[in-house]
Amino acid sequence: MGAEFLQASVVAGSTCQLRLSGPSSRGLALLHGVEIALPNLPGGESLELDCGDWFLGYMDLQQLQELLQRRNLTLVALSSSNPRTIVAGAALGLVTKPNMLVPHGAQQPSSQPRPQEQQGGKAYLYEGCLRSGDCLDHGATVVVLGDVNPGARVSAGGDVIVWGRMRGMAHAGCRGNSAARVAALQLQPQQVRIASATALGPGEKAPPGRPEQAVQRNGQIVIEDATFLPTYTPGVRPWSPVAR
Amino acid sequence: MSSPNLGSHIDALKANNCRSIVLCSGKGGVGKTTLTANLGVALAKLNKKTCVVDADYGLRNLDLLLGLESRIVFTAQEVISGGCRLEQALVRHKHETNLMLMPAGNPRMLDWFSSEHMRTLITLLSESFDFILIDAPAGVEDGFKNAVAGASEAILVVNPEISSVRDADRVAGLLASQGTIDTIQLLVNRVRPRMVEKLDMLSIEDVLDILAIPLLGVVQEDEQVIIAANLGEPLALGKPKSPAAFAYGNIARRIQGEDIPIPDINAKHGGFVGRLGEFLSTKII
Repeated sequence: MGAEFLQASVVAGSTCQLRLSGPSSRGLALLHGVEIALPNLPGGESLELDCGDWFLGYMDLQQLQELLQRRNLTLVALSSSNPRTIVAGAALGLVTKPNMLVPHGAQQPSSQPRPQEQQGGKAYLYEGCLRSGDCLDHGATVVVLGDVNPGARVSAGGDVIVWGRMRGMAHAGCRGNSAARVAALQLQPQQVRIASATALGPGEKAPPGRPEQAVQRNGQIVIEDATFLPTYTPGVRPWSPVAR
Repeated sequence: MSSPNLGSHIDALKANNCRSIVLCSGKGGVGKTTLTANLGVALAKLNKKTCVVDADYGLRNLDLLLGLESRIVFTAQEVISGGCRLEQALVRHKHETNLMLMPAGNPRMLDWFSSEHMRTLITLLSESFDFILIDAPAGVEDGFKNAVAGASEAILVVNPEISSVRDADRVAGLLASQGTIDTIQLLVNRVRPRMVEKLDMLSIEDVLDILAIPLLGVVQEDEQVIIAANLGEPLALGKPKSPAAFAYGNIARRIQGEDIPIPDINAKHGGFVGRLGEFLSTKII
């Protein structure tokens, strides 16, 4: 395995960037490849890693970090379009930036541009359980297929939709969109933030089998039954229902 | 795993039909070391060649609980540095000949011992054992990562209290993203049925509700465990007279694949175990 999957770039005054592309490789193959490309990079810098769509586990990233450390390079940030890589990076304490190279729901007709797309990016899908300490951060709407456990955090520029139990911290509209909402099959968050408003969770157990949502009304965050009717909250619909 | 670096020990484990299980919890004091010692004994009693590996280099005491402290000559440190052969470092248990201990070296191992060393050690051990139990240190730092690096399965030890459950949740997330662990099972330790009944303690259901990890077993709080630890004779060695010793035996059999139902700890008169548990908790409170 050569270094053909690596692109190193250095822009004066900013962090080095290392991009992994092409077919994914892990473990020794990855380390050898990276080692070859490293002499092109100046030492003593902080480095940002673009993992493309590769799945790199916690151990892969840790070994990569050790290798870079030996070259006096500090891995500070990581971007990837693979949610599992993002979560592994966040577990290591790196700054993570999810990319949307492979947009979900690409089969949707593009004739009707949706509000979310204008805010940069389509809904971001995470499949799996977010556990304590995990942190998912994205500029568009975030959809989690699984539970968000106490101690986990989801923040989204758009809505936070959880197909499961929401028991962690949710921040919808983190870039100022106060029309964003937090919706879950069972909404029992520790804390909800919508744009700049903050509210503590309801404290009581959420009724099972009744999806709820938290929205901002007159600066107050209220919890109500979740509705996905297209006329309900104009402008913040995360997806268009089938044409009616 | 396709990569030789991460998966070498996994291949060796598969080839030698050996299972390497790490016991971890995140939080300290939940009973990882006690469980490692007792499950080691219980597996050995089932005629499985078992090795317990002390991966808690900073605060080692697995040797103490097994009563083997004075018999240690060489440690994992000498094995890795080439100072002795593997067999020289392994300490055989006094009574249970199927059980061996791989002792931890001095705390300076914290500085140089890496995940790669752990994988090497496990690869070596896999040739002569059916089961390897790794006692992980508390926390989620390097020591924990090293301990986990050698395992292909994990047992998450949790106490029915909110901080332990939260830490276990974090550890479960780390294990899932780690890459080589393919099975995680939950062991709820130090349960007090009487307190659960009065809603003063999280129930097994509460713990499972948050963690959503398959349940391997439940061990009740038992003062016999403390007495046994001080004597350096793991409770599982003797006859299962106490509920904890009974549970250790059952858990060991579940680990080796037997289908043994987990007794309902909340049942008031749930047979022998339930009555014993009730009797015991009256003594404690």
